[in-house]
Amino acid sequence: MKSIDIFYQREGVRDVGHLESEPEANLAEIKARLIGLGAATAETLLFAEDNDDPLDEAMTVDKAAGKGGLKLHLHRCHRVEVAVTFMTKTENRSFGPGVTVAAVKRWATDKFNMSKEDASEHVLQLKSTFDRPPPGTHIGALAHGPKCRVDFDLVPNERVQG
Amino acid sequence: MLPDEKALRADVASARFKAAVADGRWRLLGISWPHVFIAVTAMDGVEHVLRLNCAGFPETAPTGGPWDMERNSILAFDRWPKGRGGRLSAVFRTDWKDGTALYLPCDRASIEGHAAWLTQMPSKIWRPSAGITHYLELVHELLNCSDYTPTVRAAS
Repeated sequence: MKSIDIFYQREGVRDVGHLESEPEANLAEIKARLIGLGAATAETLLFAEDNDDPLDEAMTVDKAAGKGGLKLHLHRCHRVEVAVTFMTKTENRSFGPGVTVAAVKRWATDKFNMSKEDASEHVLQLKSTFDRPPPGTHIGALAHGPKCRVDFDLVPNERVQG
Repeated sequence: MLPDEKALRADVASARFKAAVADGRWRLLGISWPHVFIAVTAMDGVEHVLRLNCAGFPETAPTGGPWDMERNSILAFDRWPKGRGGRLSAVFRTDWKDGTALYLPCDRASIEGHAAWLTQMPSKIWRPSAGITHYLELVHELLNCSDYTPTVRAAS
């Protein structure tokens, strides 16, 4: 049977890792491989992308995978506290660490009652920086345990001119 | 193989690049050094091919624009991605460098003479550590923003 691609992001690391797995392998076996690679520890929890709750490690890779393979996040925090500030107002919510910046932005622009058009003209920027993580970035990759927190500003995505 | 070509080939083989391929955001069409050909998917599912000159990668930023793979030439201007006068239109400029470069701060040819961009748009400046995905993320975002006008296909 064809192997399944596993793409993973992890606590405080801004990069993507990759493994291939047999479909019938379970997530505990995957975790053991990740520990062997130095990407996880015994306390690490496995999350599927854009899901709040940790995965059951008895689950097999083929059950957890989607069309493009399995997108995992490895983190010690069950939840990451997120604050998004737009102009003078701040909204807060906790998310699973495997939730993407794109999903947090959708939540935030909804909270700030932005139209779809206005939302597409804004981006999330890490507070007090010019760092705008790509939309596929997991928020856990931006949060170093045990802090488990990320602060963003929602800022206009400026037009290139001049 | 020279170090810049070796570095570019390693970058397009990276998990970061492949994860976006698995998501259907872009895909590698080929490499003919110093050029790499990558199709970036727009909101209407249309793939827009870029030819990027990556000589000096990754210390030197790429430069390039829409490319016609069949004719092996710059894409005819009437087939370039179109906007409504907003952010996409400002980047896919057919009146800039004869269509050889996108008007982006991370483009090697376009940053020349635009020192102000370094402070005005720091997030769009080329970062060698971010690699080719930085350029592609910016293009993908534009092809999926509200300024993008979906391509009208002629009925067959």
